[in-house]
Formats: sequence, structure tokens, C-alpha cells
Amino acid sequence: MLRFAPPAPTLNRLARAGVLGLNSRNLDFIAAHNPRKALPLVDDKITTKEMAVEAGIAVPEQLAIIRHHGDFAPFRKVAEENGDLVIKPARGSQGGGIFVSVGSGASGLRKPSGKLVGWDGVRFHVANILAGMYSLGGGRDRALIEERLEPHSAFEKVALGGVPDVRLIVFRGVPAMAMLRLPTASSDGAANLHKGGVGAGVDLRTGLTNHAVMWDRPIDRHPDLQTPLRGFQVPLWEETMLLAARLGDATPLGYLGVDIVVDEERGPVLLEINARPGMAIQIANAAGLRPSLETIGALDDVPADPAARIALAREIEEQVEKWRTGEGEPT
Amino acid sequence: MRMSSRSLQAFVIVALLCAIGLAIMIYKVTVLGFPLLKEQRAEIWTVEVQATVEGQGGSATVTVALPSPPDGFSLVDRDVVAPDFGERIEGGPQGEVAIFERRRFDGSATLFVLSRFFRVDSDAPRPGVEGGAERIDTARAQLAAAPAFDRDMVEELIARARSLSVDQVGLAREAATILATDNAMIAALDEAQVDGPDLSDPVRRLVFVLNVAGIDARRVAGLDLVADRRRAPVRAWVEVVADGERTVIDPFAGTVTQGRTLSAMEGAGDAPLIATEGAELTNRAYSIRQSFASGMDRALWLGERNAPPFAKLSPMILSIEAQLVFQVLLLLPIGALAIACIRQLIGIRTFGTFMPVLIALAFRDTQLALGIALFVAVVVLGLVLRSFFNILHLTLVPRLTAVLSIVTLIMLVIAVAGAAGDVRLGLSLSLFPIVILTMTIESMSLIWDEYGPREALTRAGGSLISAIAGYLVISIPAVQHLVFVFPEILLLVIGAAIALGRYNGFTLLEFVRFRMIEGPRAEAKGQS
Repeated sequence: MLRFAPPAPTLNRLARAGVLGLNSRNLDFIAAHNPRKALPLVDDKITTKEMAVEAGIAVPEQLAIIRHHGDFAPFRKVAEENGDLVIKPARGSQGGGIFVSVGSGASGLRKPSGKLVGWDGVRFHVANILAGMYSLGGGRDRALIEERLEPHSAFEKVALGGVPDVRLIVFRGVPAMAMLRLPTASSDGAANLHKGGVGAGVDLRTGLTNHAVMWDRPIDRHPDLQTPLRGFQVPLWEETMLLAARLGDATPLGYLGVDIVVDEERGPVLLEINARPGMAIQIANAAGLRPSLETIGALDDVPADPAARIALAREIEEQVEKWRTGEGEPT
Repeated sequence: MRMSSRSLQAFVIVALLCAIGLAIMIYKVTVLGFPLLKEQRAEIWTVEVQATVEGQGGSATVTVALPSPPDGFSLVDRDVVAPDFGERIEGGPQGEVAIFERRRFDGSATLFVLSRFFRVDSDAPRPGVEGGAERIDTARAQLAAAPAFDRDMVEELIARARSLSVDQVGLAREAATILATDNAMIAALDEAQVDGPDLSDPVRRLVFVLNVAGIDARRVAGLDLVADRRRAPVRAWVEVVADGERTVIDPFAGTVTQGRTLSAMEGAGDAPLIATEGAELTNRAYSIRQSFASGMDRALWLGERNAPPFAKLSPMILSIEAQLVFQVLLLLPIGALAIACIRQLIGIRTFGTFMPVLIALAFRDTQLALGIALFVAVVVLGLVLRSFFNILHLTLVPRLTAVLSIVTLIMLVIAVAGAAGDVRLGLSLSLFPIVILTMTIESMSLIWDEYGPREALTRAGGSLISAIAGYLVISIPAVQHLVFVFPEILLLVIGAAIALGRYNGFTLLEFVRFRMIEGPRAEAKGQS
């Protein structure tokens, strides 16, 4: 039974708008729904990947894992052949320490901007990853080498360089909110909003973008391409939602952020799981998370079938939208 | 509002912690007199009795009447110096005496008894001295044996005083006035033939008349604590216990003495203040001295005397060195609480969790302006030099070592430059948390590279603001005093931390960040 749970009337403007604050996210969702023991599992991209593969979820192909400095030479040999790859810290956070390479030569790896980084520089970057410079809680880490995903051609209109991705907040296996993250010239190919990427809210019902921000401020057009950012159709939206919903079964986390890249050939591919997804998604959507989350939280039980959960997510989005626009009485 | 079981648990724990902390505090303030404010100063009188006695070869006993605490004062300390004498202090209904004994006493010895009185604001009244009824009976019997002429004279005096007053205290006051001013009456009483009391002595005269009138009055000898004196005179006054209250009457002026700090030394009325047996008293001296101690000293002295052992558990029993350490350590949780407030309620982001607290502690020693300048200078210089190491491609730990060395060197250079320019940084610099600064420089340069200068400067600014706020809190003298005198305040800090940890409302900055997110449109229509 779906019981829509709109915010109670209050003098607090943000609470009335259904905004989820950081303190409440930490206490009422992360602490309450994400068991502490499960956190290392998703904080480590290598174990996350193993988990996803086991559940039959598409992930980027793993080319190598560098555990020690000695692993660098064999990696270099492979990379000289095929330089289309991404180097990531296994326990990195918020996109820190990610090195994207679009090609290679005898002298080094080429970044998306065209800049060539010598093997010495690559080795330094890997050494920093191994020393735990980018890792949660410090300590030693491993470097993960993955294939570089090719964004779906539909994104050419709205993304400049880099790889756009879709961030979904999934609560109890039900998608609650989504945004599309687009790289810009000022974000230097990164899709992260705090690096200057564009965040566009996505309507869960249709996969159409409905609002966009950059540096926390609303914008109408892509700053570099001047293309409209509203009404963009995210390709393969149904499959993207399905991947996110299926992760609800695959992980022990009740509340998570899922980052998905829609690949030209492979379709939606899981990039990363985040046990502490940020709050910027609310700004990208110009909407608060709480009405959806409270409604999902009030469900007596959640359907076991991922497809049914997507249908549920759409129904909730419909209710929230009705409440927000003030059309009709929510049931 | 619905409360989750976890919130309820937290609430109970918070309430419990606060109740325990406050209870200990209230006990210490009200019972032990620990001062809530630093400036409270307590009045102390030190009275020294000095008796020089000469032995006669045999066994000797010297009994010294001891001064008792004046009204509103409490005895906190008593020192006895009596070489080669066995000594003990005995208390009786007549007041306390020190008894010195020695089997064979030849030559001369000086005995000292030092008493210290602290002003206590609410002291229980001293117990009354027994034997009032007896004294009245004795005086009436003595008067009954006297010639009728004298009897009538005393009766008339009492009748006169009674007609001018309504109660016993009033009668005593009127009688005292008559006996101090009516010269004919004084002369007549001087001549009176009453066996026993010496009616030519103004004190004994008044005591006798009052006893005959049925009033519990007695002669008291003691010291008037008015000013520092090497040789304070012993004086006598009349103490009247009437209607359950004690009144002191000055028989020479014939007035009720109020607000005087009188230290009584005997209750018997006529016993000598220093009695000797087998020895001769060659000299006696009373010296009095007034001083002021901090309220803390007073509380400690009082605590030592009256309090149960646990009340002595205070940082004050530590050595001065350890005290100085704890004075700083106890401020750490307070600063941390301030930072927690800033994070949870305002939402300012910082580098590291407690880096701002340590910077705040460092500010305590450098003063704020200098501290901020130092912080900014070290971080900026450190960042510039660290970017140089970046070019060299050093690995993490060696690089941190290099940056740490640089930070230390920067400190040294600043200190030397300061000394050359006559700006004294001195020891204050040593407390500047070098390791923390190094980590700050490292994480700041990391965030600069990864997220850009905007994020790095935001966090650096947040750290600095938090540190300044933390400093402002821990530099309040009242805070420093309270947490040191009442370490149980940390229980309240824990309670506050738990409450903050369960706070799930918005932070102040979120109202700015999410300001563009609107509520439902229907509501907006309804409002316009």
C-alpha cells in the first residue's frame, strides 16, 4: 500500500519544502539503514565490483590492479599497448585521485585535454594512490585500472569531454531521485559538481531533465555548448533505473547513491556505489528528497521484483509532483 | 513528536549526565563553598596566642584559652607550636583550651597557638553556653544576702529598665545604658555591700544586674578583630542570651554591639585566659592579622575539615605543574564542543575534525591577532614550498616529513625575526601545533589540486573561523575557572555532545545553500 507522506506543516521553510539536511541524512538514513559492517564493502571499489559481477550487473572491465610498486612495470607494458583506461584509488572518495587516459605512447599517457603525462608522472600518481593520499581514512590503498567507458552518443549535445554519469539515490531498493552530471570545460572533464560540472535533475517517470545547476546556481544552457539543459532525454533510461533498482538487492545498504555511466556499446554500467551520497542532488532537482524517502520508508514491504520497484518509484514521483505543483489531492 | 527508541535512550543518558554533573556542582557550591566566580575573595583572620612560661624544675601544665570563631566565621586551621611539650586541645562548654604538659620543665619556653578563621556566609549559630539558670540563682542569692538598701537600689534599677523596654534584650540594653551613664547609680553600686561579684567592674556589674533580672548574661573575654595588631588588647564584654538569640553588649558604652568581629576566648567569666601550674607565665601576647584568600583556598580549607573524602578529589590537590597541564587539558573538551556546535548547527566545514581546537589552544598563548597572522603565514608559506615538492614527485610520508621540517623552520624564522624586532613570541610559539599545521598544509594542497582553490579556501576559512570561535569560548575567564574548579562540567559537555550528535535538523548554512528549493505551489498560492 502506497501512503504518500508529505512534510508536515511547519514554520521551517526547508522542512516545508521537504529538503533533507546533512544531519538528518547522517542520522536518519545512513546510520539507521546502512550497517557499519557493510561500509568497507562499498568504500572499496574492488569488492564493490565483485559484488556487482556476482549479481549480474554490468561494470567497467578491469584491466589490472596495482597493489605494490612492483606491479607498475607490467601495467606499463599493457598500457603502452592500450592507453584507453582510467586509474582509480580503490578506496577513493568523491572522485579524488581519478586519472583518465584516452591514449598512450612510448613516453606516457594522454589525458582527455590532450596533455601528455610522462610515465614518471603516471608512476608518481600511482605511488600517491598506494600511499593512501586519496583514500578514506588514510592508510595504504590499491590502484584499480579499468577500461575507459565511451559515453552514449546522445550525450554529445550536453557534455564536453569526459564522461557524464547518472546519480540515483536508492532507498530500500527503490530509486528516490536522480540527476545527470555533465562535465564542462571548467570542470576539466570531471562530472563532479564540486569541480564545476553541471547537475541536471532527472524526472524518474520519463528520464527527461527538468532543471539544471552549476556551482549551486540554476542555469538554462550548457556553459560551453549553449545547448538547452532542460528536456534532455537520458538514453536507455528504463535500463538505467533497472540497474539501480537491482543494486538494492545486491548490497546490504538501505540508503545509497549509485553512479551509472550509459556506455555507447554496453548500455548502463555501474561506476560506483556511494554509502554517503551528497546533498547536491536536491539542488539539481530544485526539490527536496524527503517526501520520496518518507513515502518509501512508510512502505510495509518493498516488492522483490526490481521492475515492480521501478513502477513504484514512478508512482511516488507522480505523487510528489502532484503535491509540489499543488494539482489534485494526493491520496 | 514521535521519538525513536534511540533518541529516547540518548535523551535519558543526556538527562542523567546533566543531573549528575549539576548535582555535584550544586553540592560543591552550596555545601563546600566552591566559588562560582573567580573574583570572590574570602576574609580571613589569623589570631596568634603567644605565651612565654618559666619552669620551676618540676612538672608543668599550661592551659591556654583559645579564641573561638566570631559569628559568621568558621575555624579552618589551627597550628600549635610547643617544643618539648605534650599538647592537646580540649573543648568544653566554656570554649576550647589548649593544654600543654611537661614532666620536667626548667628554663623558659614560648608556646604558640595559631587559629585561622574564614568568613562563611551562612554559618550555623554557635551553641549557647550552659549554666544560665545557675548564674541567675547565684546572683539572686547574693543579692538576697545583701542589705535592704542595696537590694532596693538594684530592684529599682531593674524596674526602671523594664519600664523602658518590652523584652529581655531591650531590658538588658536599657540597664546597660543606665549603668554606663547614670553616675550616681554607678557610685552607689560601687559602695554596695554585696558578697561575691566585684560591682566596681563595669562588666561584672552589668552581668550581676542582668542575672538578678532573670536574664542569661555572662562576661566574655576576647579579642576585637578590627585591624592588624601585634599586641592586641584583651577586652571583656557582656553576652546576653535572650529569646534564643545572642546579643553582645558593650558595658562601657552601654550599647548593643553589632557588626563587630569579636573572638571570645573563655566562657567561665572569671577563669584566667592562661593558667599555669608548676610554671610561671612571664609574658603573653595576642596578635591578629587580617588577610584575603581566594574563594578557592577557602573552599579547599573548608573541604579539608568538613567534607567527606571524595570532596577533596579536585584538580587542586595536584602539584602546581600538573595543575597547569590540566588547566589546558580541561579546556580541550570545551573547545571541541564549540567546534561540534559550529559543525552541527552552523555547518561550517573544516580541515580535520579537531584541528581547529588545537589551533584555538595555540591562540591562547599567542594572542588572537598574532595567532591568526602566524597561522596564515605558516600555511601560505607551507603551501608554496609544498608545491615545490610536488614537482619532485616525492612519496607521501617523506614529503610530510619535509613539510614538517619546513613548518618548524618557518616557526623558528618567525620567532628569531620577532626577537630581533623586539616582538616577544617566546614560549608561546612552542605550543603551536606543528604536526597539525603540517597535516593542514598537506590536506589543503590536496583539496586545492583535486577540487580547486575555491573548495580549499572555503575549508581553510572555515577552519580559521572555527578556531577563532573556539578560542573566544575557551578564553573566557569564567569558562576557564569553572571547568577547572568543577571538572564535572565535562559530564554536561558529554551530554551536550550526545544531544548534538542526535540533532537531525538543518544547519544554518543549509538555509542558504538550499534557499532556491521551493515548497509546494498550492501553499504559495494560499499565502499570497
